[in-house]
Amino acid sequence: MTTTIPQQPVKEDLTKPIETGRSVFDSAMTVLSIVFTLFAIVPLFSVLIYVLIQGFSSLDFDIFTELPAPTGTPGGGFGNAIQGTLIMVSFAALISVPFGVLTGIFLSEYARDSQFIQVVRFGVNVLAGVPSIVIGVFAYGVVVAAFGSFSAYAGGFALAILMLPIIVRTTEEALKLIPWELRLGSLGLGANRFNTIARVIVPAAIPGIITGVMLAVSRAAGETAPLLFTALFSQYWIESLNQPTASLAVLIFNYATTPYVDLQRKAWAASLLLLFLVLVISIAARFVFRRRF
Amino acid sequence: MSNELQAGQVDTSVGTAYKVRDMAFFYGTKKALDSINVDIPAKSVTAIIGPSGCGKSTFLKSLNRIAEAETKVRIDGQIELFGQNIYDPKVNLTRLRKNVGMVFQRPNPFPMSIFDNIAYGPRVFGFKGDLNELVESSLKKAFIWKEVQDKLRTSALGLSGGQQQRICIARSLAVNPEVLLMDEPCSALDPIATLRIEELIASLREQLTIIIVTHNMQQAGRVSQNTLFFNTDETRIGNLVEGGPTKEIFFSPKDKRTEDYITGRFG
Amino acid sequence: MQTQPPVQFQAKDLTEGGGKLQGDTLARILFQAAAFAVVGVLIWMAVVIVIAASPAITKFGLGFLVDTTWDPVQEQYGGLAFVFGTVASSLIAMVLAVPVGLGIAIFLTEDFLPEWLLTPIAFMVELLAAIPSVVYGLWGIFVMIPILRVVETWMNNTFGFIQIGGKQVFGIPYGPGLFTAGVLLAIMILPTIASISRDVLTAIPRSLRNASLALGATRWETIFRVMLPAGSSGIVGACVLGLGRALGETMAVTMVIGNTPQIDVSLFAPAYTISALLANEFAEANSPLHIGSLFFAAMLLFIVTLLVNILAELFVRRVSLGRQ
Repeated sequence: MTTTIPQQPVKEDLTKPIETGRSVFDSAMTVLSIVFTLFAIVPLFSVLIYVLIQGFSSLDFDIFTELPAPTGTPGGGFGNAIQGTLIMVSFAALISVPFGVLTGIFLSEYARDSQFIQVVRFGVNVLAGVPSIVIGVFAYGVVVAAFGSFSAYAGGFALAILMLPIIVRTTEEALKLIPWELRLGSLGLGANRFNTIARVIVPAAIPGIITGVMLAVSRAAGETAPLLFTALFSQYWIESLNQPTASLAVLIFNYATTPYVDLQRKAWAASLLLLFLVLVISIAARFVFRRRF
Repeated sequence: MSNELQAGQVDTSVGTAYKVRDMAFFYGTKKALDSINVDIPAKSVTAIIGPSGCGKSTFLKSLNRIAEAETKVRIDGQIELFGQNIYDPKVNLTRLRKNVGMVFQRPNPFPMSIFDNIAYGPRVFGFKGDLNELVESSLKKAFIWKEVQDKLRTSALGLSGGQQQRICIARSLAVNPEVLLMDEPCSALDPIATLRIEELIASLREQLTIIIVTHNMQQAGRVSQNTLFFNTDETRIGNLVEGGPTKEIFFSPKDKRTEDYITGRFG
Repeated sequence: MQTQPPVQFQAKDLTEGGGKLQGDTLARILFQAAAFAVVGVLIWMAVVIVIAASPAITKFGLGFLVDTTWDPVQEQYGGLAFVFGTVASSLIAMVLAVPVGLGIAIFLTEDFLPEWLLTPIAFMVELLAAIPSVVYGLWGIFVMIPILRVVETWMNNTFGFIQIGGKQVFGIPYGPGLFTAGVLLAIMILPTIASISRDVLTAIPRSLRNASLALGATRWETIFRVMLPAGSSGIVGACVLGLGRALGETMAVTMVIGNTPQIDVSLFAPAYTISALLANEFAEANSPLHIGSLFFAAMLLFIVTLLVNILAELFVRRVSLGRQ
């Protein structure tokens, strides 16, 4: 270039800051959102730390093997509550897993756009939103009213309904993680849809389905409201499924609201057990599904 | 300076908008562009062509610093806009981007009314004048006023792709930028809509500096006065092979690689 | 068709046309039946609860909703105090949790944090949802109430002059009460609001944000003027889901609300919710009218949460349809 043309400067100085109001607003909102996030994390750590400290200091071997001591006397444990939770959750899983897994398969593998599928998916989502206390009321109306007494059956029935939507959703999600090519490969070999599902898709999705069931189990184990007036509580070991049954969750509720320090300590210990179960399974599920339920 | 236009030197007799010196661009630690030296003329259309992955979009996104809004990037060297270093830490990004508008590959109107789309920028900057008038004039500049004047309050998402893209151009024009960056603005459009955008570019040429990335060489030939050819070598790092007046690049390229690309002998 | 079990049938012969069809059809019917049962549970639930509530419905009718008396001795039941407690505690929770939850969702999506920090923080927020309600209640009694008592005392001293009908809105703190329950509920519904809003914001195309930034808008101008309006439907859905959770939440509320069926001006006064009523009285109710009234209350809760969840579902569905 022989001729130097004077550069036309940009009309505006690029380093001139924007209006104070705009930049203050921006910084203020950033600070606010950081504070909000801390707000959420502080309670989480507070709950974890308290349960860990209080729970561990109250934990001993007797807790797993002994029955509750008579009110006011120190010592004793809540072996029967652990037993009750295990039995009721197992019973619930026994009912819930077949229905839940089959429904999950149906949602994932059959005509995804049909009207019926829409209804089912809608129903599952709505069921997931029904308060657990209402599920307890329902179980009371069905099982307790029929048997004429509080029972492990009633508690298990309530927990089964509670687990159902979780199992359906996790099963559907686990199946969706299976690559589409696998289905095409099987169908391409002449297998029909059922064969493809039963021999290829479901076996491949088993780890995911089991994780989903575990997730449902851990949520059910922590549920209190549906057990309060279905399984009630008991001071003794279980002799029959047709009588009131203790559970860890109801134990925490009962003991937390007593004035006895010894019982409060048992509540913390039971919380530690529940929290441990729930957190381990939730973290495992997170790694399997890479999303939450 | 010599009389002849060197590689990377384009005809800046109308004035220089961008002056890029020894520019290198990194995504994280991965180098995407290396040793870019070029002057981009003001008040004219400069096309950037080259095979995919040659860094032409990356280069464009470094000119209004939108690249750093997407991921972590680093830029070495210097980019000046009308004599101001845009990577000076003191530069206010908001002000820079107001002066350097951008039109994206796929039309991206906001999910709001046509009017609100155009008024978005002015409102953000606290525009004091007659907003109706500004919206109308912006839409007119973008050749879309006639089509939308009766439905300014309806959603911009109801328009066709070509109309949406012109809305996006009008939206940029409403804040009165000095430069308009266009990142393959017609790649998602049909031929007729493309033609409209090209006419629009031609009419805007007098008013502002336009830099357009395109994979369509005919388009570069039709709309631009100057062309930059980007390429990658085996290291996958993009670089500027050659730049100059569009006619020269198309009819007498100095570099063999440019010639191969222009004539379609490119791999 | 019924004589041969379908699995065996297919295992023998994959290529036989008729056999394949029958097995496949049977399987499909099985899957459909299971799916139908899952939906059927909802209907069954509604029928059982309405029938059990019918003695109370016929006796009290809609008057149940406007009566504040709950007296098992006189067999006089009205649900207004519980409806008030349920709605008020949930509203307090929403007022606290919606801005905080949205703030978190924005903080976790809008490039504030590097990836290595983002994932664990997002996961921690989601873990809040996994902690059992009764553990929150326990923590609420022994950790949160003592802290809140300090806050409430300060608010009582500072804002005590705000009165309605001669009564303080920020009255004398008791510890357990409406506000305490609201705060605990807010913590519990925070992950619902934050996580779903985060999903919604993540699903908004990046190009919209870039378009706004390229026009010279600042980050928060972009968030408020483009991102939040674009995601509004899904965010409303997230908030409504959170509301549904708050309305039905039982254990934590029962443990910290004070369980007193009254309607008081003071935010710090003890109150009672429908869910807490059910938790406390169901096991001990004897008379048919008492049980019927509890079922009536449960029915109200069921209907409200059902409507809220259907509403949320519609909002969230609109987002996922828009995405396709």
